[in-house]
Amino acid sequence: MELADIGRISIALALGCTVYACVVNGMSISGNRTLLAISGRNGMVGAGVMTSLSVVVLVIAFITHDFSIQFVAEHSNKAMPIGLTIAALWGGQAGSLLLWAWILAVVSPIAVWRVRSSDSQLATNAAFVLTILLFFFLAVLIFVDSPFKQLMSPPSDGRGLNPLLWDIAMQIHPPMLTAGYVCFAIPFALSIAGLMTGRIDRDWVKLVRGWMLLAWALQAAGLLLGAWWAYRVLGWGGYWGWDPVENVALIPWLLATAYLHSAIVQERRGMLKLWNVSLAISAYLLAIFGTFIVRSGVLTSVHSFAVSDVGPIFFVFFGLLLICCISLIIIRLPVLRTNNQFESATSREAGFLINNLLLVSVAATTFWGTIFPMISEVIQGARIAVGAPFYDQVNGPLLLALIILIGIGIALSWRRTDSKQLLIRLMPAAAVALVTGSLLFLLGIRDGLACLAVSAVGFTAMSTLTNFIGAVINAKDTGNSPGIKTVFSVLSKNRRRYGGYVVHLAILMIAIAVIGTNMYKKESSVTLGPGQTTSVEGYVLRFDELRFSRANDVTAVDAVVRVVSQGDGIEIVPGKRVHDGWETQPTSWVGINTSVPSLTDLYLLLTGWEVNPQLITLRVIVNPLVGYLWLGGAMYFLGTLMVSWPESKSREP
Amino acid sequence: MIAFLRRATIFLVCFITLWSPMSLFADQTSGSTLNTEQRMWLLAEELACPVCDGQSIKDSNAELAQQMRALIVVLLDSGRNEKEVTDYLVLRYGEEILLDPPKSGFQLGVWIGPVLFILIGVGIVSSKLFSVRDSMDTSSESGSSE
Amino acid sequence: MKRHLLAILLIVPAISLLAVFGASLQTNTSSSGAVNFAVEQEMLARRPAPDFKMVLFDGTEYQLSSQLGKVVVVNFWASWCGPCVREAPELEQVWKDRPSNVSMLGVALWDKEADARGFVRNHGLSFPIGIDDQGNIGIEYGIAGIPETVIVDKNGMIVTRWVGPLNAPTLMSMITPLLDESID
Repeated sequence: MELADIGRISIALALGCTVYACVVNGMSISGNRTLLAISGRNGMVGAGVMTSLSVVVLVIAFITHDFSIQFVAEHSNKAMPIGLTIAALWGGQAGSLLLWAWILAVVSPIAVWRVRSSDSQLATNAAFVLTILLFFFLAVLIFVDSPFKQLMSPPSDGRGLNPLLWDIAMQIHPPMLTAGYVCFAIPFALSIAGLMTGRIDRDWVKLVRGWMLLAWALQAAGLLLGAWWAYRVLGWGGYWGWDPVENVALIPWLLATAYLHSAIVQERRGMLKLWNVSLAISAYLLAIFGTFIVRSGVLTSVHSFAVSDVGPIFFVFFGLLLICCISLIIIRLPVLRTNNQFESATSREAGFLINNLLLVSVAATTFWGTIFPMISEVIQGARIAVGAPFYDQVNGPLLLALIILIGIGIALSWRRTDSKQLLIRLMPAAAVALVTGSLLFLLGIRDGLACLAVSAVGFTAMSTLTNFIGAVINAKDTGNSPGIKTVFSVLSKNRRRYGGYVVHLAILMIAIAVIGTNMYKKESSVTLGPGQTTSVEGYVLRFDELRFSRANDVTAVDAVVRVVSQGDGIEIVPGKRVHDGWETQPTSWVGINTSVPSLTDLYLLLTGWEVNPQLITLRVIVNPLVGYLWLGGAMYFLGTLMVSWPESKSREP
Repeated sequence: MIAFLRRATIFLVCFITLWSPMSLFADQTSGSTLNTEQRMWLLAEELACPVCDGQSIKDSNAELAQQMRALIVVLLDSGRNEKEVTDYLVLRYGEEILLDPPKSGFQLGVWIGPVLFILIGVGIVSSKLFSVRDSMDTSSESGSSE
Repeated sequence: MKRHLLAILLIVPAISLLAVFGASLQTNTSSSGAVNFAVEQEMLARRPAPDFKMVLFDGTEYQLSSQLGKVVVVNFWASWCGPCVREAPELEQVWKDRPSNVSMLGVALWDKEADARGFVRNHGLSFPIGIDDQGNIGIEYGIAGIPETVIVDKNGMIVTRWVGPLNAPTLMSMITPLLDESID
């Protein structure tokens, strides 16, 4: 028996387990039969084990270079290092679908098992929904696009991986993003299950919130790693291009962010049930929609590496899910009624509501801009482009308003805030904003938008800090030990709240990077001979020499450039790499020098060269403050960790 | 009811006043002091590179994008303005190269969409925020001297 | 009442959304291959061919406007492009068997001169060929993919734009009817 057969059989068995689990869970929904539910859960575990086995088989096939399997032959070769060979698993369509199915098959039983302890009926219903989703992916893997398809005559060596994917970020980014997409399935399943049981209560919100937090964090990790990859590998000096593939990954994250805020309102005040259910459901539907867009090739993008014929089947799946969800919501509308209502427009719950309005507006705008070219093609037959300028003009102001709202929202109390009190609370923040704005103006920045945006960031940062300091002073007044210890005790007593603050500050940092790179990015192009110096964008550059080398089937050209304006001359070496078999797709080896503490990047790209006489053409890009993006990203995860760290049991009574 | 309408309108006006001047900012480029190359980079940001899947000719390093950038500099130097250069390229490559969709014709739809979403959203939110308080206010008001 | 309203508000956009996706899936699968061909053809067909002058690899000068009265085949290609390799012998054959009053020009685009000259030598191409190293002719003709062939009639009007590689019979069938047209 060959590897491919084992792989195929294990996927088939996984499908069998899934069908069994689906039927048994379905039967136990109506009768509330405990034994059946347990058997259904075991079926899911079986599916998880069998899918894991098939992944192991594919990994072994990659490591042993079994080129009789088409997927292995098309995405790896013998010269590739081991880490990359394993990462090639998600370098193509079928493999990344297997990854998707695998994560879903493993996460689902865990989720069901954890939910079971608090609400067994909810768990059974969710198990039913999850097995249907899993069934779809496994069926696609068997009937439409199998990673275990065999070749009649195996080649002696494989084709290798697309050189653009030869990067550390590419070994982590796709599984993160896939895991994010997959985890949105749990809140989705819990929503559908909740609509079925009719209990959309506080416990439900708490359960969904935990899983939503996980999906939200994974999705953010995927997005940030993707941005980091694009910045260093694609060689255009940017990290985000409002490209369709990026957009469809951002939309579920935006909806999840909205959910994490509006869930607090439901937890505290029992309101917004319909809204929260809709958010959880839409986040997953849009994740499926994103996959459909990326895989079907209906939109072209710099990121589309895995276009194939699964488009129509994903379309049908998405359509069915959409119609089922809408019908279910409409049928169960009475369940979603709430008694509580908003008491004041200056309350924290109102702040959350406006926050949701802004986040969902950004999501809707992004969605609309992404699908508009398709609408145009269908209606008027001509493809049009909707690019970054559109998103900058519409989403830019919305995001700016959101940043200001973070600052205001923190100062709002539940139910009703006295407006005089609110003004007093916001006084220090407003002062900081005013000072920041005028300082920038005095420093010679005449761009109104830049001043406004940075002031907004200052405002919100200060508002967050004053709120935290206020809490520390309060704690001190109530007789706590003074100093650093109080700070830590305040932090640990309300980890969820202050973790959120850390995430807010991380977002502000990212905002600073976005303002810097969007408004003050400079670029130009220079041609230099050996030993020649030139002055560009405030740097003096000298070109020393061209180096040629060859190793592991890769031909490399490197230009040694020195920044002579900075002391002893830092060396930056931009270059190009040509991988054997991929001669038409040379990849850029970007040269980046980050200056501290402004975290401004000098970004050099070798765009052309002559050998005799030596001559290079460089693209010189100065990206102000871009490093704060990566720093903000790290801080984002610190905050997320704080929020999600389990409360220690001993402290609870 | 009138009080609700008044509050909702104030909310709406605040929202739009916050939103609209910022989009004006985004459009604005202080053109007078820029040299030709800087003007070229600004223009290049708004034109899609015809051979590279949605990247602008500013971001793309494709040969065609480089040639188009060089040509834009030539055309700007020959005294043409941004609009004329854009029209020149649109005539040759079609409207699909406009990354900033024109606010006219069919493409107006892409701009109307978000405005519509936001208006609907503001409508829903203000009805949530003000309608109840409104009825409470009126009841308390009618209970007092008024 | 509220329920019906919500139902309509949700279902109508959902259905129209699905319709758009379904339709775009269809257009996408059917038009792969000669993408945008119809659009481009409509855009530039029946327009005067922009005039240009270029120095050929043999050192002579070629000006489009001096070819008035002939049917001109302008082929944009590059040495690195796979389909161009298949197309080259076909073009050469048409050039050898050409009727009178037909002119042909190869324009190397997005290419290095040394590579383009090597390509011409290797494939033994004998029709007039030069390189558009600034890319201005390519942009003037709105070339967004390689190879592309533009056919100009006796009156200097663009009549056909062919995106993708051509074979000899197809090219001949496009040239022949143009030969009988009169000159205005």
